[in-house]
Amino acid sequence: MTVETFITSRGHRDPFKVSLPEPFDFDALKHATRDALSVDVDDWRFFDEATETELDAESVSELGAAAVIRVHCHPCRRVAITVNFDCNQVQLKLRPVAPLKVVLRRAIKKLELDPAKIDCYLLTLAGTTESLPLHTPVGSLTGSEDCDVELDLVLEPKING
Amino acid sequence: MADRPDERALLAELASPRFKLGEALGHWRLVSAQCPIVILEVLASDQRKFAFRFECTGYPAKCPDAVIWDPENSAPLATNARPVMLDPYQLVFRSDWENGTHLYHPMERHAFATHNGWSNELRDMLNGSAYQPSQADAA
Repeated sequence: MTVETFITSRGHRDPFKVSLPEPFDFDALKHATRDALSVDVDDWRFFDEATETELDAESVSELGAAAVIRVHCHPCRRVAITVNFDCNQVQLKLRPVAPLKVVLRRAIKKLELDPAKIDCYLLTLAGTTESLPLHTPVGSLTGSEDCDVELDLVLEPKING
Repeated sequence: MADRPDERALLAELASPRFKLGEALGHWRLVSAQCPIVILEVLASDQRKFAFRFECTGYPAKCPDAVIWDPENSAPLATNARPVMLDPYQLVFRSDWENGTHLYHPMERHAFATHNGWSNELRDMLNGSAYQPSQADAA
Protein backbone atom coordinates (compact mmCIF):
# COMPACT_ATOMS: atom_id res chain seq x y z
CA MET A 1 0.00 0.00 0.00
CA THR A 2 1.16 3.50 -0.75
CA VAL A 3 -0.11 6.89 0.28
CA GLU A 4 -0.52 9.55 -2.37
CA THR A 5 1.31 12.59 -1.12
CA PHE A 6 1.17 16.03 -2.73
CA ILE A 7 3.99 18.38 -1.78
CA THR A 8 4.17 22.15 -2.28
CA SER A 9 7.18 24.18 -1.34
CA ARG A 10 8.98 27.50 -1.61
CA GLY A 11 8.75 28.52 -5.25
CA HIS A 12 6.51 25.56 -6.14
CA ARG A 13 2.80 26.43 -6.25
CA ASP A 14 1.96 23.35 -8.26
CA PRO A 15 2.33 20.24 -6.13
CA PHE A 16 4.72 17.39 -6.69
CA LYS A 17 3.13 13.99 -6.33
CA VAL A 18 5.00 11.19 -4.61
CA SER A 19 3.88 7.79 -3.39
CA LEU A 20 5.03 6.87 0.09
CA PRO A 21 4.98 3.25 1.25
CA GLU A 22 2.66 2.74 4.19
CA PRO A 23 3.60 3.05 7.03
CA PHE A 24 6.17 5.81 6.63
CA ASP A 25 8.10 8.05 9.02
CA PHE A 26 9.46 11.59 8.96
CA ASP A 27 12.73 10.48 7.36
CA ALA A 28 10.84 8.81 4.51
CA LEU A 29 8.82 11.99 3.95
CA LYS A 30 11.99 14.11 3.94
CA HIS A 31 13.71 11.69 1.61
CA ALA A 32 10.83 11.74 -0.87
CA THR A 33 10.67 15.53 -0.68
CA ARG A 34 14.40 15.87 -1.26
CA ASP A 35 14.13 13.64 -4.31
CA ALA A 36 11.14 15.55 -5.66
CA LEU A 37 12.55 19.03 -5.12
CA SER A 38 16.24 18.23 -5.63
CA VAL A 39 17.18 20.31 -2.58
CA ASP A 40 18.43 19.44 0.89
CA VAL A 41 15.39 19.76 3.17
CA ASP A 42 16.87 18.31 6.38
CA ASP A 43 16.47 21.61 8.24
CA TRP A 44 13.19 22.62 6.63
CA ARG A 45 9.85 22.69 8.35
CA PHE A 46 7.02 20.44 7.22
CA PHE A 47 3.34 21.27 7.55
CA ASP A 48 0.07 19.41 7.04
CA GLU A 49 -1.93 21.58 4.61
CA ALA A 50 -5.22 20.05 5.77
CA THR A 51 -4.79 21.21 9.37
CA GLU A 52 -2.22 23.99 8.78
CA THR A 53 -0.12 22.53 11.60
CA GLU A 54 3.59 21.81 11.72
CA LEU A 55 4.54 18.17 11.51
CA ASP A 56 6.88 16.26 13.78
CA ALA A 57 7.84 12.62 14.00
CA GLU A 58 4.71 11.71 15.93
CA SER A 59 2.22 13.60 13.79
CA VAL A 60 3.80 12.32 10.57
CA SER A 61 3.12 8.76 11.64
CA GLU A 62 -0.54 9.65 12.10
CA LEU A 63 -0.78 11.09 8.59
CA GLY A 64 -0.60 7.64 7.07
CA ALA A 65 -4.23 7.00 7.98
CA ALA A 66 -5.39 9.50 5.36
CA ALA A 67 -5.93 8.45 1.77
CA VAL A 68 -4.40 11.67 0.47
CA ILE A 69 -1.80 13.80 2.17
CA ARG A 70 -0.98 17.40 1.35
CA VAL A 71 2.31 18.63 2.74
CA HIS A 72 3.93 22.03 2.52
CA CYS A 73 7.63 22.34 3.30
CA HIS A 74 9.61 25.53 3.74
CA PRO A 75 12.86 26.63 5.38
CA CYS A 76 11.22 29.54 7.23
CA ARG A 77 9.19 29.42 10.43
CA ARG A 78 7.21 32.50 9.41
CA VAL A 79 6.66 34.34 6.15
CA ALA A 80 6.54 38.14 6.14
CA ILE A 81 3.72 39.26 3.86
CA THR A 82 3.15 42.76 2.52
CA VAL A 83 -0.30 43.43 1.04
CA ASN A 84 -0.84 46.56 -1.06
CA PHE A 85 -4.29 48.03 -1.60
CA ASP A 86 -4.70 51.37 -3.35
CA CYS A 87 -2.31 53.63 -1.42
CA ASN A 88 -2.35 51.50 1.71
CA GLN A 89 -0.01 48.75 2.77
CA VAL A 90 -0.30 46.22 5.60
CA GLN A 91 2.20 43.73 6.99
CA LEU A 92 1.37 40.22 8.14
CA LYS A 93 3.42 37.33 9.50
CA LEU A 94 2.05 33.86 9.03
CA ARG A 95 3.28 30.31 8.86
CA PRO A 96 4.27 29.28 5.33
CA VAL A 97 1.42 26.77 5.20
CA ALA A 98 -1.24 29.46 5.67
CA PRO A 99 -3.48 29.50 2.59
CA LEU A 100 -4.12 32.76 0.80
CA LYS A 101 -7.71 32.78 2.06
CA VAL A 102 -6.24 33.42 5.52
CA VAL A 103 -4.00 36.16 4.10
CA LEU A 104 -7.01 37.71 2.40
CA ARG A 105 -9.12 37.61 5.55
CA ARG A 106 -6.38 39.13 7.72
CA ALA A 107 -5.53 41.80 5.14
CA ILE A 108 -9.17 42.87 4.79
CA LYS A 109 -9.45 43.14 8.55
CA LYS A 110 -6.25 45.20 8.85
CA LEU A 111 -7.26 47.43 5.97
CA GLU A 112 -10.65 47.93 7.65
CA LEU A 113 -12.52 46.84 4.53
CA ASP A 114 -15.99 45.31 4.71
CA PRO A 115 -15.51 41.59 5.52
CA ALA A 116 -18.93 40.87 4.00
CA LYS A 117 -17.44 41.76 0.62
CA ILE A 118 -14.47 39.42 0.87
CA ASP A 119 -15.62 37.55 -2.25
CA CYS A 120 -15.14 40.74 -4.28
CA TYR A 121 -11.37 40.69 -3.78
CA LEU A 122 -8.46 38.77 -5.26
CA LEU A 123 -4.80 38.53 -4.38
CA THR A 124 -2.08 38.79 -7.01
CA LEU A 125 1.68 38.82 -6.79
CA ALA A 126 2.68 42.48 -6.55
CA GLY A 127 2.93 44.10 -9.93
CA THR A 128 1.26 41.23 -11.77
CA THR A 129 -2.32 40.56 -12.83
CA GLU A 130 -2.47 36.82 -12.27
CA SER A 131 -5.08 36.06 -9.62
CA LEU A 132 -3.90 33.47 -7.15
CA PRO A 133 -6.05 30.53 -6.00
CA LEU A 134 -7.03 31.02 -2.37
CA HIS A 135 -5.95 27.52 -1.34
CA THR A 136 -2.33 28.35 -2.29
CA PRO A 137 0.03 28.11 0.72
CA VAL A 138 1.66 31.53 1.06
CA GLY A 139 5.07 29.91 1.50
CA SER A 140 4.96 28.66 -2.08
CA LEU A 141 5.06 32.29 -3.26
CA THR A 142 8.34 33.27 -1.64
CA GLY A 143 11.49 33.44 -3.71
CA SER A 144 14.22 30.84 -3.60
CA GLU A 145 16.23 32.77 -0.99
CA ASP A 146 13.44 34.66 0.76
CA CYS A 147 11.01 34.40 3.63
CA ASP A 148 8.86 37.26 2.42
CA VAL A 149 6.34 37.97 -0.31
CA GLU A 150 4.54 41.08 -1.56
CA LEU A 151 0.95 40.83 -2.80
CA ASP A 152 -1.60 43.20 -4.28
CA LEU A 153 -5.23 43.15 -3.15
CA VAL A 154 -7.49 43.92 -6.11
CA LEU A 155 -11.18 43.92 -6.89
CA GLU A 156 -12.34 40.90 -8.86
CA PRO A 157 -13.22 41.76 -12.45
CA LYS A 158 -16.92 41.44 -13.21
CA ILE A 159 -18.60 39.76 -16.15
CA ASN A 160 -21.37 41.94 -17.47
CA GLY A 161 -24.34 40.59 -19.34
CA MET B 1 0.91 8.82 -27.49
CA ALA B 2 -1.02 11.77 -28.89
CA ASP B 3 0.20 13.19 -32.17
CA ARG B 4 -1.26 16.66 -31.95
CA PRO B 5 0.33 19.29 -29.70
CA ASP B 6 -3.05 20.29 -28.21
CA GLU B 7 -3.82 16.65 -27.37
CA ARG B 8 -0.43 16.21 -25.76
CA ALA B 9 -0.90 19.38 -23.71
CA LEU B 10 -4.40 18.37 -22.66
CA LEU B 11 -3.40 14.86 -21.64
CA ALA B 12 -0.41 16.25 -19.74
CA GLU B 13 -2.72 18.60 -17.85
CA LEU B 14 -5.10 15.78 -16.98
CA ALA B 15 -2.15 13.74 -15.69
CA SER B 16 -0.59 16.62 -13.73
CA PRO B 17 -0.35 16.48 -9.93
CA ARG B 18 -2.52 19.58 -9.55
CA PHE B 19 -5.34 17.91 -11.51
CA LYS B 20 -4.83 14.62 -9.68
CA LEU B 21 -4.90 16.41 -6.33
CA GLY B 22 -8.32 17.88 -7.12
CA GLU B 23 -9.52 14.40 -8.06
CA ALA B 24 -8.07 12.84 -4.92
CA LEU B 25 -9.80 15.46 -2.77
CA GLY B 26 -13.09 14.83 -4.56
CA HIS B 27 -13.35 18.34 -6.02
CA TRP B 28 -13.75 17.01 -9.54
CA ARG B 29 -13.73 13.77 -11.48
CA LEU B 30 -12.69 12.99 -15.01
CA VAL B 31 -15.69 11.33 -16.63
CA SER B 32 -14.15 10.85 -20.06
CA ALA B 33 -11.35 12.17 -22.21
CA GLN B 34 -11.63 11.51 -25.92
CA CYS B 35 -9.46 14.31 -27.23
CA PRO B 36 -10.39 16.99 -27.90
CA ILE B 37 -13.57 16.33 -25.86
CA VAL B 38 -13.24 16.16 -22.08
CA ILE B 39 -16.13 15.72 -19.68
CA LEU B 40 -15.55 16.59 -16.04
CA GLU B 41 -17.84 16.27 -13.05
CA VAL B 42 -17.43 19.03 -10.47
CA LEU B 43 -18.60 18.96 -6.85
CA ALA B 44 -20.55 22.06 -5.85
CA SER B 45 -20.45 23.56 -2.36
CA ASP B 46 -23.89 22.06 -1.66
CA GLN B 47 -22.46 18.62 -2.57
CA ARG B 48 -24.37 18.39 -5.85
CA LYS B 49 -22.36 17.27 -8.85
CA PHE B 50 -22.44 19.00 -12.20
CA ALA B 51 -20.84 17.82 -15.42
CA PHE B 52 -19.14 20.04 -17.95
CA ARG B 53 -18.24 19.24 -21.53
CA PHE B 54 -15.11 20.90 -22.89
CA GLU B 55 -14.05 20.90 -26.54
CA CYS B 56 -10.35 21.64 -26.28
CA THR B 57 -9.05 22.02 -29.83
CA GLY B 58 -6.02 24.29 -29.71
CA TYR B 59 -5.44 23.85 -25.96
CA PRO B 60 -3.87 25.69 -24.20
CA ALA B 61 -3.52 28.56 -26.65
CA LYS B 62 -7.26 28.69 -27.27
CA CYS B 63 -10.09 28.75 -24.76
CA PRO B 64 -12.20 25.59 -24.63
CA ASP B 65 -15.72 25.53 -25.97
CA ALA B 66 -17.59 24.67 -22.77
CA VAL B 67 -21.10 23.89 -21.62
CA ILE B 68 -22.76 22.54 -18.50
CA TRP B 69 -23.68 19.02 -19.52
CA ASP B 70 -26.15 16.22 -19.01
CA PRO B 71 -24.08 13.04 -19.57
CA GLU B 72 -27.13 10.77 -19.54
CA ASN B 73 -28.74 12.57 -22.46
CA SER B 74 -25.52 13.80 -24.08
CA ALA B 75 -26.93 17.32 -24.22
CA PRO B 76 -26.61 20.66 -22.47
CA LEU B 77 -28.14 20.47 -19.01
CA ALA B 78 -31.78 21.57 -18.85
CA THR B 79 -32.35 25.08 -17.58
CA ASN B 80 -34.28 23.97 -14.51
CA ALA B 81 -31.45 21.65 -13.47
CA ARG B 82 -28.70 24.27 -13.67
CA PRO B 83 -27.01 25.70 -10.56
CA VAL B 84 -28.69 28.66 -8.93
CA MET B 85 -26.06 31.14 -7.81
CA LEU B 86 -25.75 34.73 -6.70
CA ASP B 87 -24.97 37.40 -9.26
CA PRO B 88 -22.64 37.81 -11.07
CA TYR B 89 -21.87 34.08 -11.12
CA GLN B 90 -25.39 33.15 -12.24
CA LEU B 91 -24.57 34.70 -15.60
CA VAL B 92 -22.12 31.88 -16.34
CA PHE B 93 -24.98 29.37 -16.57
CA ARG B 94 -27.49 31.60 -18.32
CA SER B 95 -29.74 29.80 -20.78
CA ASP B 96 -31.16 32.94 -22.42
CA TRP B 97 -28.02 33.39 -24.50
CA GLU B 98 -27.18 31.02 -27.38
CA ASN B 99 -29.85 28.67 -25.98
CA GLY B 100 -27.56 27.83 -23.08
CA THR B 101 -25.15 25.91 -25.29
CA HIS B 102 -22.07 27.78 -24.02
CA LEU B 103 -20.90 29.00 -20.63
CA TYR B 104 -21.16 32.76 -20.48
CA HIS B 105 -17.57 33.38 -19.44
CA PRO B 106 -14.53 35.02 -21.05
CA MET B 107 -12.58 31.76 -20.85
CA GLU B 108 -15.20 30.08 -23.05
CA ARG B 109 -14.22 30.16 -26.71
CA HIS B 110 -17.53 31.17 -28.27
CA ALA B 111 -18.43 33.67 -25.54
CA PHE B 112 -15.02 35.31 -25.82
CA ALA B 113 -15.18 35.41 -29.60
CA THR B 114 -18.57 37.12 -29.57
CA HIS B 115 -17.73 39.79 -26.98
CA ASN B 116 -15.15 42.10 -28.46
CA GLY B 117 -14.92 44.19 -25.31
CA TRP B 118 -13.97 41.33 -23.00
CA SER B 119 -10.38 41.13 -24.15
CA ASN B 120 -9.80 44.59 -22.69
CA GLU B 121 -12.35 44.73 -19.89
CA LEU B 122 -11.38 41.38 -18.40
CA ARG B 123 -7.72 41.31 -19.35
CA ASP B 124 -6.64 40.67 -15.76
CA MET B 125 -8.95 37.67 -15.42
CA LEU B 126 -7.65 36.18 -18.66
CA ASN B 127 -4.04 36.78 -17.66
CA GLY B 128 -4.65 34.74 -14.55
CA SER B 129 -5.87 31.74 -16.46
CA ALA B 130 -4.18 28.86 -18.19
CA TYR B 131 -5.54 30.23 -21.42
CA GLN B 132 -4.11 33.22 -23.21
CA PRO B 133 -6.58 33.98 -25.96
CA SER B 134 -5.11 36.16 -28.63
CA GLN B 135 -6.75 39.25 -29.99
CA ALA B 136 -7.41 37.22 -33.12
CA ASP B 137 -9.78 34.98 -31.13
CA ALA B 138 -12.03 37.94 -30.47
CA ALA B 139 -12.01 39.16 -34.04
